[in-house]
Amino acid sequence: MKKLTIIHYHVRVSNLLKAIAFFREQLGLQVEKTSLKHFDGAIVSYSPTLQIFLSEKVYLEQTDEVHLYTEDCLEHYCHLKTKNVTFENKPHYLPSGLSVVFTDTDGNRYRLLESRSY
Amino acid sequence: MRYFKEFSNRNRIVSEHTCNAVSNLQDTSCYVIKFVMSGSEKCIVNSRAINIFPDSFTVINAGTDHCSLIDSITPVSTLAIYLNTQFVEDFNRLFFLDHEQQLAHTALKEKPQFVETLYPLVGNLRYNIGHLKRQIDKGVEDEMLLNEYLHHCLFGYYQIYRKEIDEKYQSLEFLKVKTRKEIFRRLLLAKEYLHGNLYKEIKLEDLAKYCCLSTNHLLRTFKKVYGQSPYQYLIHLRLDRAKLLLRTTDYPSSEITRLVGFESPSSFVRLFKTCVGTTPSKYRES
Repeated sequence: MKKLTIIHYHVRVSNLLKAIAFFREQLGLQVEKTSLKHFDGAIVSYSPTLQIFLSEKVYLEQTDEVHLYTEDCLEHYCHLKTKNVTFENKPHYLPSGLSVVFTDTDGNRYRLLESRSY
Repeated sequence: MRYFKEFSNRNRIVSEHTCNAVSNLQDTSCYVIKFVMSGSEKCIVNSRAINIFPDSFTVINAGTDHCSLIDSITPVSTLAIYLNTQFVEDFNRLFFLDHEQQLAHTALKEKPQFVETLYPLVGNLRYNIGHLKRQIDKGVEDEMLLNEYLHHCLFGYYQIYRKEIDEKYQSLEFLKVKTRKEIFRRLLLAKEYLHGNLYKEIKLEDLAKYCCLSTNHLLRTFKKVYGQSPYQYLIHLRLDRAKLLLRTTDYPSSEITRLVGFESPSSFVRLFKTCVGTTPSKYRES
């Protein structure tokens, strides 16, 4: 059986409550506030294999660019547009597929990518 | 079963699932892109028959007289998108003009006129059409989303057009533009003939006669444009069609052999294994 790999992204936010509201209400994702020995913040479950760790604190390996895979980039894009998510650009083609970038309230970048095999 | 949706910008989508249909149309306000999701549809464009299968599509310019025929025992699933001329012209400007030219409202000299032939359904267009069809089947009515798909379908078509028409046309070396255009037009006829008749034995002489070229001239120019002889092109076409049938139907191997024009199941299996690296049954399982 293939081993399930979970990708974690660590993202720093200036206001955790605002960030949680953004992920829950605008992106419609499941967010869980967590306080552990080594992490204090919230965990966003994007998919069974991708989680985003949000925190106001500084942690190693924090990034301001997250890659989110989607089955249908245009559907995702139009859905998020209706939720007033701010996009940096329009859906565009990369050698690996169709992509579009949106930002959160802190300017962190989230690249939606629909992987295509040409 | 028929799905029809017209948008406020006059673009339209028509999806049908039928065994028999005849439609005759001349629409001066729309460009039409016709796809077949399963089965096949015969399309008569300017008195020329074009057979559309799920691995191909055709484009009809605004104002062209065309007719569609479906006559099948099993239901044929089709998708036609009607793009308003203004929508296509606006897209054309976006595609060909840079940002400054667009801001300066630079106009393109000519209205888009596409080559009405058979195109391979590949690349981004294949994905975008697949997504659009899935949304239609789900009953999605969101105009913004559906128009976004149409915009990207047109983009996918322009990518294919560049590769299938512009680049291939450029590969022909004739001094006179008129000669180059005419030879290219005849080669497109040859390609359409191969696509439409792959289920039967095709003789080079018949193909040459159909496209009004001598056999030598056909062999030389076809290879120049398509990188392979008409026979090699036909074999690849048959194998690609066989792969499609293996993936999307449960037809037995013998039936697929007949549908794609191979002489016997054994020669089909042998050639399939040589070219694809696995047997048809293993390909289907995978």
